Amino acid sequence: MNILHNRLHRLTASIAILTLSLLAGCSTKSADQPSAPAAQVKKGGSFTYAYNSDPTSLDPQKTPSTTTVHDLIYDTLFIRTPDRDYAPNLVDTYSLSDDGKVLDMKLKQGIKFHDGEPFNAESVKFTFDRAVDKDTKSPQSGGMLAGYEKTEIVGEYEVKVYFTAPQATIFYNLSQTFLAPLPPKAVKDKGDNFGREPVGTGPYKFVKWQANDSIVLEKNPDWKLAPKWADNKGPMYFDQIVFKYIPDENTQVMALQNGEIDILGVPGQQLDAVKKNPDYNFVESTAANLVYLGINSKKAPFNDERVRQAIASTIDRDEIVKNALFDQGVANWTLLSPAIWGYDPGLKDKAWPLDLAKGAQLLTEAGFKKNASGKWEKDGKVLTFEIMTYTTQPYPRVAEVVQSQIAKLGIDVKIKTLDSATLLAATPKGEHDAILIAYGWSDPDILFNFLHSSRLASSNRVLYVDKDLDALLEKGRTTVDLKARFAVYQEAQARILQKAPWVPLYTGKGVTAIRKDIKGIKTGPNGELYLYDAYKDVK
Amino acid sequence: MARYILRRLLQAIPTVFGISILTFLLVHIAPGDPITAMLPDYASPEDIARLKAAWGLDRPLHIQYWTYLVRLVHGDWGTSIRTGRPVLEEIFTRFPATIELAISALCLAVVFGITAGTIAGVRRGSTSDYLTMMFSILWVAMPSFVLALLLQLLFANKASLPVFAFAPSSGRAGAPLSLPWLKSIALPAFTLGARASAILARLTRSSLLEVLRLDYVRTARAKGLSEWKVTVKHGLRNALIPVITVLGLQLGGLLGGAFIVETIFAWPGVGRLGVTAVFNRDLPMIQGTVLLVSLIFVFINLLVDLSYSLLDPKVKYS
Repeated sequence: MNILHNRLHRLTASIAILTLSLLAGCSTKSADQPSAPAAQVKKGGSFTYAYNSDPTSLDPQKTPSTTTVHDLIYDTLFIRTPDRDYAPNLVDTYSLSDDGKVLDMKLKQGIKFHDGEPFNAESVKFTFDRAVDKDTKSPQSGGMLAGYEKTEIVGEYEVKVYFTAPQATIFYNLSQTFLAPLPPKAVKDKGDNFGREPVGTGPYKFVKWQANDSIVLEKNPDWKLAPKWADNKGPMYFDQIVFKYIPDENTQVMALQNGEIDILGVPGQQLDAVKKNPDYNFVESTAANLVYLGINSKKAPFNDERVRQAIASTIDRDEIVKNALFDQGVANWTLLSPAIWGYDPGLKDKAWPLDLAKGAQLLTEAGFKKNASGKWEKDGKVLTFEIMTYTTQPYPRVAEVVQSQIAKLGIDVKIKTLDSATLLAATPKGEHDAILIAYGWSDPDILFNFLHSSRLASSNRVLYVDKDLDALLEKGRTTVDLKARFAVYQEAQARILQKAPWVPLYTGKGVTAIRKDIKGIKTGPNGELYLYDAYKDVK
Repeated sequence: MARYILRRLLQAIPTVFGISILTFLLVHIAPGDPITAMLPDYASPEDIARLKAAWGLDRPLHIQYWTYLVRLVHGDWGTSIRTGRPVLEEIFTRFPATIELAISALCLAVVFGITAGTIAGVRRGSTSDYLTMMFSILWVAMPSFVLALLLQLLFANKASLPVFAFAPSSGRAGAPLSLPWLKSIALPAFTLGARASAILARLTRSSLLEVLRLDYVRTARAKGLSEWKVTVKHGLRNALIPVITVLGLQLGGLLGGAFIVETIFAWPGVGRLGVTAVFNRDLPMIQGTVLLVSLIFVFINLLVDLSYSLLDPKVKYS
């Protein structure tokens, strides 16, 4: 379950991955383990994860993706609740102004960073100022504070944060470790080394990090931020959390069998073998991602929406899930993962259903005729195109199934597999026909980045321009009222489905195996694995 | 001798320089850049431009290269764009593990390879000769990931084969030469050394067979020397010259990064550093690892050449 990273395709492609996240966005199907009565809980011991590549930096403002290590070292100002809402975490009480531009936060008192530095208004101001500072070279955090103007220190434990535009996603952003408060003094003293010796307020303190070997954290005995839905209100039970570097999938499975690690996001190919093993409990979760076919809407003949719609009419999502994913995914007819806020299964009616006759009709209306060999032709040109996708599975497999489905309409598709950097560099030129890639994010505002016309030549990789959609996506990022915001994204998604610059395919599923001697791990509806009540039942 | 070494080192400068220009250009010809590879795929053009400027990637190529070169001459190998840490530091936190593994593998290869090759050469046509050659073909042909898996299943499988399971399935444990360390390095070193030992065995055998046919060996025998002395002192010593050459190349390869073995056994060496850097287009890191590997090869080739004079008195350097 490689969901903790926001760049989904990369996960499969060998960049920093820890097997699971305390706060990953995904939804789960699994009964919680019952919590033990306090007397039965065995405190102490260690809990071991596997990871397959060192994190880039443990400074959340200097990493393109956060991991479970970050999540355990730092606390966030807000936290995502099991019912997909947001609750104050390091914040005590707060209010967002009516225009959505000023966030007033009163902070919890008596909280200290691991090095003893007090957590206060000063540290929040420092954190935000640093995130947007050019010299920080922040790959992610800075962008999450778009429109940030300034932080005003009102009192020792109160800040007012000013923005230039209404902030509909502010609570989501502040619940991400990317914007977790940092200790000003430690950051200044350690300089570039802060990313190797991080200091936070979280449930675990950093102990050591040996490159390509292990990362060790120890319990923060003063931690008292356990949320409402945890039974254990004190510090977590494990004395130590160890992350073991094991890049190879077979070795990961063997390490789990040997008890060298306690938990593992099971690699797809190993799933059948691992599932037979009676020594594990399993947690199944739906990822906060979407794999889609994006069609270059600027290039002829795909600039004619009927051609895109015809392609959309050939897609059989259930077949993709069955034959390319071996059921490790769920068919998705919308633009958002079922695991995140904004998902609306009702949008299926707005998507182009599998209907080859309709596809043929759309192509005919667009001026295409079937030639002698049964292929569609217009002005002497045969309709055929190329799908670019990643080299890592399951993308090539999915592309092949899509290829066979489109072929049924009489359109030949070629597949070109590329590594992530090459593919992403190729799209801004606009010479490509179609891409089969994924995105992972937990707020619908992400659609702005991919389909707004201001993002042409960068992250709008389908070069789609639609003033009406632009207006909706702009409205979505500034509408603070949740009900109104939901309606905006319903309308925006319906429009995208109708015009078909993107044809959504599926959302990934992951299975996590946990050794049976680990008790008390609870799962949230978003796939979070809560460690608050977890302990090792050593006989 | 000292002059020879100095001359060889000076000769290495243009080689290394050429390699660095080539690497630099190749990375720039390849599509993609470190910033877009690092940023999320929804990053705004402003963010991309901001970071490119911050890392100096918006400047003309020749200026970027010149800056790199000037820093390099001052001992600064640059900063990894991905991790924001000095390249040299990134390399040297991992290099000791790679050296440990390479040396261990090489020791195994030398001991097994040269011994087996010598026995096979001396007892040509015997069962031990056939067995040695059979196993050496097997080791050369077997991909290291297959051998690694087999070894893991046999010797690190606490769940199903607890009797044989003496080693951890992966990772490096304990201080060098301690018992936990020996246990943890045994499987990766054997996997890595198997191929090299097979190559050495075949080479030693054929080279020895050739040498043993020569006149001076017959002379040695005629002098009444023992067969042991004839084989080892007169035969093997001369037969080892081509073996040492190959040994040097093997060691270079082992040090340059045993990517697969390090991955399977989670050995914390440099192996993955270069490969990950290429995927991330992390230019300073790619330059750094390539530079390291080329320096290793230059250095080892020098050692190999120098060792000839120890083995063969006819070879002299000045």
